[in-house]
Formats: sequence, structure tokens, C-alpha cells
Amino acid sequence: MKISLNWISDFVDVSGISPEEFGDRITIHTAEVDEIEEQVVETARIAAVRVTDVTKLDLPDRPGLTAVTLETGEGPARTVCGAPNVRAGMIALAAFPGATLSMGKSVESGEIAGHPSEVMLCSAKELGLWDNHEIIVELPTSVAPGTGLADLIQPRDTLLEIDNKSLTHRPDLWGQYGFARELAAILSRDLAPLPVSDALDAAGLPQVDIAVDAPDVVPFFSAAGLRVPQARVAPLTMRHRLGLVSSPSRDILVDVSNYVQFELGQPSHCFDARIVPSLRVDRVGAARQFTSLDDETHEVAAEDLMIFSGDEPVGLAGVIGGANSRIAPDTQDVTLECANFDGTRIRRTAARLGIRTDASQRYEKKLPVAFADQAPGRIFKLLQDAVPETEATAQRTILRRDATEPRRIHVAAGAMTRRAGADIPDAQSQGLLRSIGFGCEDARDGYTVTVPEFRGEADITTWEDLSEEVMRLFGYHNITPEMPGPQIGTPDFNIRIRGQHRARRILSQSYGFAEVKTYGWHSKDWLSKLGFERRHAPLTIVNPRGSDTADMRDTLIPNLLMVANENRRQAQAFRVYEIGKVFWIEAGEKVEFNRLAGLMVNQRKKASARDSFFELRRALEDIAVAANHPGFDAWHIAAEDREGPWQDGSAVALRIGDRTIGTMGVLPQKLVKTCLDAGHAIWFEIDIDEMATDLYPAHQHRADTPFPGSRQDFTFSWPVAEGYSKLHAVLAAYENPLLADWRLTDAFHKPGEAKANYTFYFHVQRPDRTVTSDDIAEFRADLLRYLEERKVESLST
Amino acid sequence: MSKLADIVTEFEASVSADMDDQALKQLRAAYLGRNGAIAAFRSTVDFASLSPEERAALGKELNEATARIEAGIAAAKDKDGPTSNAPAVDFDTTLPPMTSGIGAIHPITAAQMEIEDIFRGMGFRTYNGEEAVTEFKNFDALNIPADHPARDMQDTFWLENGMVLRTHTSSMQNEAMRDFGVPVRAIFPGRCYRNEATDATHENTFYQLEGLYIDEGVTVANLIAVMKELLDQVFGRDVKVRLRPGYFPFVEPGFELDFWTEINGKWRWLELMPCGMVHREVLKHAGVDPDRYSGFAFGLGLTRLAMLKFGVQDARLFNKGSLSFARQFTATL
Repeated sequence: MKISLNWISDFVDVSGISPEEFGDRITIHTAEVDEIEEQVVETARIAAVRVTDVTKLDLPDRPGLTAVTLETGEGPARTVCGAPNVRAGMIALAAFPGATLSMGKSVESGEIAGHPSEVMLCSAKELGLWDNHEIIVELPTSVAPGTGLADLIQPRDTLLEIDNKSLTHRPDLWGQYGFARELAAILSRDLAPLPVSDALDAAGLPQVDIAVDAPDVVPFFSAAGLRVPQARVAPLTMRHRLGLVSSPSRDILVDVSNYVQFELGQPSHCFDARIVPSLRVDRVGAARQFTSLDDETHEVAAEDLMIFSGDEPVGLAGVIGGANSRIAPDTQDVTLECANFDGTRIRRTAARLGIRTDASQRYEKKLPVAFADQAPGRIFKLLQDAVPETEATAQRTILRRDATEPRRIHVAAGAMTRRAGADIPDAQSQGLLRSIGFGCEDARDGYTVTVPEFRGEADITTWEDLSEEVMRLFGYHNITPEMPGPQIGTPDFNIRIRGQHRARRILSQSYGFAEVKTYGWHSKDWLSKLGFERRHAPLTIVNPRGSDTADMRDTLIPNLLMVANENRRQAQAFRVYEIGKVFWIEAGEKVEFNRLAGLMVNQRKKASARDSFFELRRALEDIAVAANHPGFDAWHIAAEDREGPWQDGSAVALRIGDRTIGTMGVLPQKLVKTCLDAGHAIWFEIDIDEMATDLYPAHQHRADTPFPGSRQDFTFSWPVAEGYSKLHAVLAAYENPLLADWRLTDAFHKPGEAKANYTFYFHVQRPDRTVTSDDIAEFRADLLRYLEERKVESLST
Repeated sequence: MSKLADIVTEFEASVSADMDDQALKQLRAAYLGRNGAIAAFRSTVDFASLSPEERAALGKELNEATARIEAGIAAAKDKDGPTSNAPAVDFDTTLPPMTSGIGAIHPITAAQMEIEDIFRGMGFRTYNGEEAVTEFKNFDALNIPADHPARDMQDTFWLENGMVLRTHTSSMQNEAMRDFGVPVRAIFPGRCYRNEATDATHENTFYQLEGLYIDEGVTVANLIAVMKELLDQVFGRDVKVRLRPGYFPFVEPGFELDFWTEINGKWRWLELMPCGMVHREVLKHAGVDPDRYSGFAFGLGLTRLAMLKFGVQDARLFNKGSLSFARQFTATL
């Protein structure tokens, strides 16, 4: 929204302060100023003239051109004009030779089509007044020829563009007057009251027939009748100001209604009383078409709020008037409607139909009812000032839903100081509140504040709301920062987030992985390219950005495969991972948790998938160890348990104890073809948060025994299809007090053979004495017996 | 024994740095080989006739002579310097490692890690949060009215189970107060979603870091101090901050926090984060007595901070998974 300092100065003295300072002060005390714009209208050698004669030239190539004679105040002048509204008797604005127009064009005398052109009759756009180039500017007949443009407008103005977002909760600031009130308080200057007339409330006039059939969304509805004589235009200052804040000038009735909308913030609507003698507001009831005054046709819905005259829709309430009832040039009798509509109702209608008007934008903010009560008096006053013959013809009739009780809020003594952490005595707080129209009176243990009726209902309801008013006027910059007192104790570490960070450091710092983030949803199209069918019921977005991306991801792998696909030309070999959420629905409940997944890609044809696999396995082992686990065991995944097309016979489940924490494997060649140019990729996906344990575990030290032990090697033959981890589990379950340590030292598998050989090292030791050959023999026999019972074939004896 | 000394002298006269490897090999054989000069000398000595002391002395001399010849040959092989600096290996130790390349941490993560560290220093714990949350947590608990535009379909992703993808990390406030009780100091970093068209500064998937501090007697002065401390740490200088009025239903008063910074060579105020004193309705929803406790909350845009800190111009790059983008942020944390 734009505010004009000239307009503001109707109500508060703004002298002696630079535009930049205005911008800063409004920003820090009230609302954000986005931009400051200096506006200058060139006025030199531009003045009012009276048109004395208009003669049609009837030129075949330039139809509509007329020869015009003018009275300039200093004698007659001649010109040529093509504007459709030029007519004898009107007062217009003319640029004399030497004048410069708004686009920089200079005016010279000359000839047009063989006719003298000594001056130029100007449109509003040519003068930089408002956006209309169709017709020439017409001035009230009271303006004497020869009056300079500089005496008809305020040529210089400063516009402050306010960020609308910062006004969403301040419906009182959607007009110039609201900002005048704020500035008066900020500058400690007086605020002039808004001049109004009570002529529309005079007794003895007939009333307007109005009805509200949807009171739940119409808190206040009013209509009055008035008559404005024909051949009238609004004062140029008013029209210029409207032009500056974005609304081009039209008819005086529309101009004044708009002027009050921009001044007070309250929309209103003028209907031609010949067409609209009575008003009724109700929901549309059944979907239908409606043509608005800009001649656009809209499909309105049953719940939209409509203003009817009889059964004829004449205006989409709070949004836009109807084409059928607009003000015509000959309109004299007017039904002036001014109402308060439910903000949400108006917002939904405007949003659905895609018509956001100055009116709907204001109603959306939940305007105070008081404005609707105040606006007609202001409208009448402005009309009467411009056209003294204006008269009230029907008394303002009001249908109000709620009785208005002023809101009162108790503020405890010293509350503002305690809230701010800076000394703001109660007397000062009260002074600040009074400066913006609040009433304050002392009460027990504090004071009572009366909220002025122009402040929005939702805006001020608690003492904390008042604390904002006090502190912003006091100035947040006047509050000295103060660190809170020291707390007792240190906050707990978040073991999950720390665990994630540790995993990141291992992958990124030690294994050359790049962390990426991908969207939280899957692309159905990509999933079908991969041949992936979900195993889980998806968590689905009702209103996705694209119909392809409605389902939230339940695994990170497909998106990472897409990353690999999109980056395959960037590098031959690369490694990426992501830590992010997966979601699905299980037994009607949402499941959501973090996963860590990654891809190790090598597109060189000769690269060894085995080397990559075990390097990645090593990385995951590091992550497990960093999370205080001994490592992962890898188990084959049964075909029926595979979770996606990336899991083939190479895929293994990574377990810690008997918990499966994740999976990893070599990407099947079919998917390598889909996603990459050549080579191989190793994938993994683990439930990272499942690994969270103590961040700083207390590993128990085992004292060295002084008695030497003995290293014993064994080689076992084991079916490859069973997987190493099964053999490992058998060995891990073996207990013998002589066994101090054991580990796998070598594995050999001849391709094609069903069994592989695994060599282990066992360390045999006693805490009380050196092991003897008997001890060793006993240990070996016991171990071999144990393994034989479990069908483990030993190649050692 | 001067015979041994003669052998060494003779060797040193014949060895030369000009000799190639083949010549040096032959020279070595002539002195140290099975039929070389040293072996020939040894065969002239009747060790059995020597006393133990003499045997030891001769052994030592033989070792020394052999060592001098070996060193002479090594020095001749090493054309560039004295024998003592000869490398132990024959590969180029100036090469960079070529095992796995340099890894990278996502810039959003990097920003998050830094902020977590800063706030931990101020006694704030880090809290996990869910991304798919109830309408209550995302809106009602935060005093956002039922008819607020934010709840509309064009702003929020609604899920078929009635939940929403959280539009802000403020959705964690209620849970944090309930889980930890008060007083509480906590931050909640995480991913948020808004149903809007994307451009360089708007993304439907973005990252925030919410902060919450509830205790008795928390003031606006406390809020300013904590925010300033955060920015001092992030930017490594004494940062000038200011609060100005801002409106968010879950705080009262609400502020926009600006900081004074240089942009394209010009110093100006830059809007950085919304914050405010937690609204009494939000406290009440979390079972906290608003007449006893007060506090502040802030919503730092991690995406925005990462854009500022790392000079990223387009917010969409963060979720694109582009290697050329990701690899720029080497894992320094």
C-alpha cells in the first residue's frame, strides 16, 4: 500500500522531517516501508482554459479531430484536439509553448492538419496526474481560466510503499488516516479529526429498504440515498492523489468512494438509484454467472455473498460491483452502500474467482465495524465540498448484528517493564497508548485500557497486545540487550542428530561422499521406470505440486538413483548420500523416521564392484563403530523379502545383533542401464536413528595378563549360500574360558564352488598361568566338537 | 691389516658418479661379490689363529670396509645428493591421494551444525521433529485461527490422512514444551514445506531452525541479546541488529529481526528472521501457565542463512542433488 505525505499532512504536520527519516521511523515503529518514491508533476506553463468553440474537421484520415477555440484568461487561443470529451463550455488543462509534459515531451506551437495549434489540451497521463490517455482532463466549472496547475494540485509528493504483509493484522492501517494517527504518535504531534457530515443521518428523510439474509457473515450493513447534480467532476487534488496511490480517476461518485477507501480504509459502493432502489445481501444460494462492472463474467458459487436489488444480483459483496448497476454519466440519484463483511468469506470468494480488488484486500484483513459506520459521513462531506448542491435523499439505514461494547483490558502495574526488560514506567506506557487513541484509567494494581473501536477485533485482546503497542512506540532500539541468567546444568546431547552428524563426517571426510538433499516425495513416473512397486501404503498429498509427485517417499533410494542419473555425465565416478525422512501408512497410522542412504557410482567399465562394495562396507562399519556398535553382520535377503528392484541376490541385510538396521548391495545391471552409462553402483540404506546409543561410551578396560597365550589358526569350509554371517554367529555363540579373542583372517572362494574356506585366528590365554600344550589341545578339541555338532566342517584338526 | 684399508682406498679411487647402474653393479661384484676383493682378503686370514679380541677387531674392520663400499656405490647411484638423504622409496610422494576424492557436506547441514554448536553453548538442546504433523501442531497449537489463509490449499500441503506437511518448524513448540516441561531452551532444525510455485527465492521444500526459550521473567531484552549473540558468532563480528514490528499469530509482540550488513558494496538493513514473545495461547495449549512463564521464539531460515553465508543465489539448488553444486562445499565440519 502507498501512503502519500501530502495526504497525511491533511491530518498531521509532517514538516521538518526527511522522507528517509519517515521511512525509517515508520519501519521501526509501525510497518515496513519497502520503498520511498519522490513524485513531481511539471506545472510550468500549464493552466486551466475554457473551451469556447469546438468545430469538427471531418478529415477522412483523422476522424474525430476538432478545431478548438479557448479562453486562456489572457485572451483566446486556438488548437486542435482529438479527445472524445472535448466540448464547448468545459474547463480543461492546456500546456502552453515551453511546457514540458510528463514523458519529457516539450510543447511548441505549430499546425496540425492545416489548423493552428497554439496550445495543447492535455490528458491526465500526459500531465503525469493519473493513468488515462483517452480523454482530456476536465476541471470543475468553478476553476477560472488562467489558474496555473501548480495552484490546482500539490505538485511534489513523497510516496511511501508499505509492505502489505506487515499490515495483515492492522486493518486500521489500510488507509492514509491510520498512518496519520501513527505518525502523530511517533512524532508527538497533533492529529486532526477526519471531517465528516451528518446530513445522511438527518431525521425526516425516507429510509432505504435494506435486508441482511446472511447475518453470520454481515456484521454491519447500511445504505443511504443522495443526489449529486449532473455535470460534475471531483477536485483535481483528489483525483491526483487517487492517481498516485494507484486508482485512476473516473466519475466523481466513484472517485469519492475510492478516496474514502484509500483515506479511511473502508470500501463502499455507489449504485444508480434508478436501477437499485433497495438492497438485500445474501449468499448466492446456487452457482450462477455474474458480470462485474469491468464486464468480466464470473462463475459465482452458492456460498459467495451477493448484493441483490430485488432478485437481481447487483454486486459481489466486498469484491466488485455489477455491470448492470454502475454509475452512468447521467446518474444523479445514488444508493450508497457501506458494509462490513466477514473477512474470510470475502477472501475465499476473491481467491477462488481470482479477483483481488482494493476492497476485497481490505475486507480480508477484518476491517473494524466502526469504519463502515464512519465512511458515509466522510463521503457526503467530500461530495458536498466538491459540489455544494449535493443533498441527502434517503436517511442512512443500518442493520448491525452485534451491539458494540468497548473492549477493556487490565494491565498490571510494572507489566511493561517486566515484559521489555527495560524501564518503561506505567505513566509513560499510558501516555504512549493514549497517543494512538487508547483510553487509560488507573485501576487496582495497575490500570485499565479501553481499546478504540477503530482497532481490529483480533488485533488487541490481551495485555500482551498492548505491550506491543507500548514497546513499538517506546522503540525496540531503546531496549538494551541483556543475556538471560546462567542456567544450571548442560543440555542433553541429541544422540540422534549427533549420530547423523558423525555419519556425515565419516562419509564426507573419509570416503569422498557428497551429501545431497532431494524432495520428500517420489515421482511416480521415475518409480515406474525403475520398476519399483511400493510395499507400503503411501502417505499421500491431497494437493501436490504435480500429479506425479503426490506420494511421500518410503525409501531414499529412487531419488538417489535419479540424482545418479542426472549427474552421470558430470563425473565418471561419484558418491552421494542423503539423510532424510521416509513416510508411509501402516495399520492406519503414519510412520515417519530418518534414513541414511547412499550410492557409490563408478562408470568405468573395468572398475571392480567388489572393491567398491567392500570400501562401502568399511565405511558403514566405521559408522557403526562411531555409534558404539561392534559392526554390522551382513545376511542374505530372501527373495520374497526384497524391497525394491535394486535388491537382487547380492543384497544383504545389515544387522546389529538381531536387529536389521539397513540393507546394501550391488545395483543390478538392468538398473545400471536405466540410471547410468556403464560400470557399477553400490547402494545402501540404513535406519540411522536406530543406531543411536551413548555418544561417549565407557568401554571397560581389560588388564593385560602377564602370562603369554597361544595363537591357534583354524580353517572351516562353509556353504556360500548360507552367508558368512551365519558361520560368524555360530562362532560368536561359542564360549570357552580359554578363548581371549578371535577373528576372521582370510576367506577363499573358488568361483562356482558351493563352499568357501574361512580361516580364523583364535587367541588362547589364561589369566592365572601360561597356557600349556594340554590347555591348547583341550581348547582345540572342544571347539571342533562344538562346531561338528553345528555342522561346521573344519579343515584343521 | 692395512691390506683392507688399501682395498677401500682402491675402491674409492675407482668409483665415480659418472658410472651407470651396470658399471656400478660390476664394481660392487668386484669388491663385495663372492669372488670379490673383500672375500679374497677374508680367505687369506686364518681366523682360528686369532685371539678373540683380534677376531672381534678384524670383524669390525671388515664390516666397516663393506659399509664404506656399499655407501660409495649408493652415493654414485644417487646423482643428486649425499647418501644420507637418499629416499627410502622409489615412488613420487608429491602426488595427491587418488583414492576417493574430496567429500562434501550439504550447505544446509553445515549451517545447521554451526547453529547447533552456537546454541548448545547458550544452553539450548536440539530437538528432533516430524515433518508430517497434525493440523493441531502446525496451526491450532500456535494460535493460528481456523480461517487463517495459511491453512488454505494454496499454502499448505495437506495429506490424505488429515495431517499436513509442516509449514514451519514452529510446529515443534507445543511438543517441546510438553516433552521437556518448562523452563526450556531448545532449537529444532528441520525441513518445511509450502505449497507454492518455486523461483530463485521461493522453494516448496526449505529448511528452518526454530528456537524456543521459556522461563520465568524472560524479556524482550533477552531475546535481542540471544539473537545478537547468534549473529555475532555466525558472522564473526559485532553485528548490529534491530527489531521492528512483525505479525505472527503465535507471538505477541512479534518482530522482524534485521541486521546491518553489506550487500553489493552497500551497507543496509537486511531482514533475517521473524521472532517474538511466545503468545499466551501457545503457552496455554502446551499446559504452561502464561501468567507465570514467558519466553521467546524465533524462526531462523536455514535456507536463507545458507544462501547468505555461502553466496547461493537460487534456493532451488539445495534440493536438486546436483554434484557440481554439492561438491563445492567440502567437508570442513
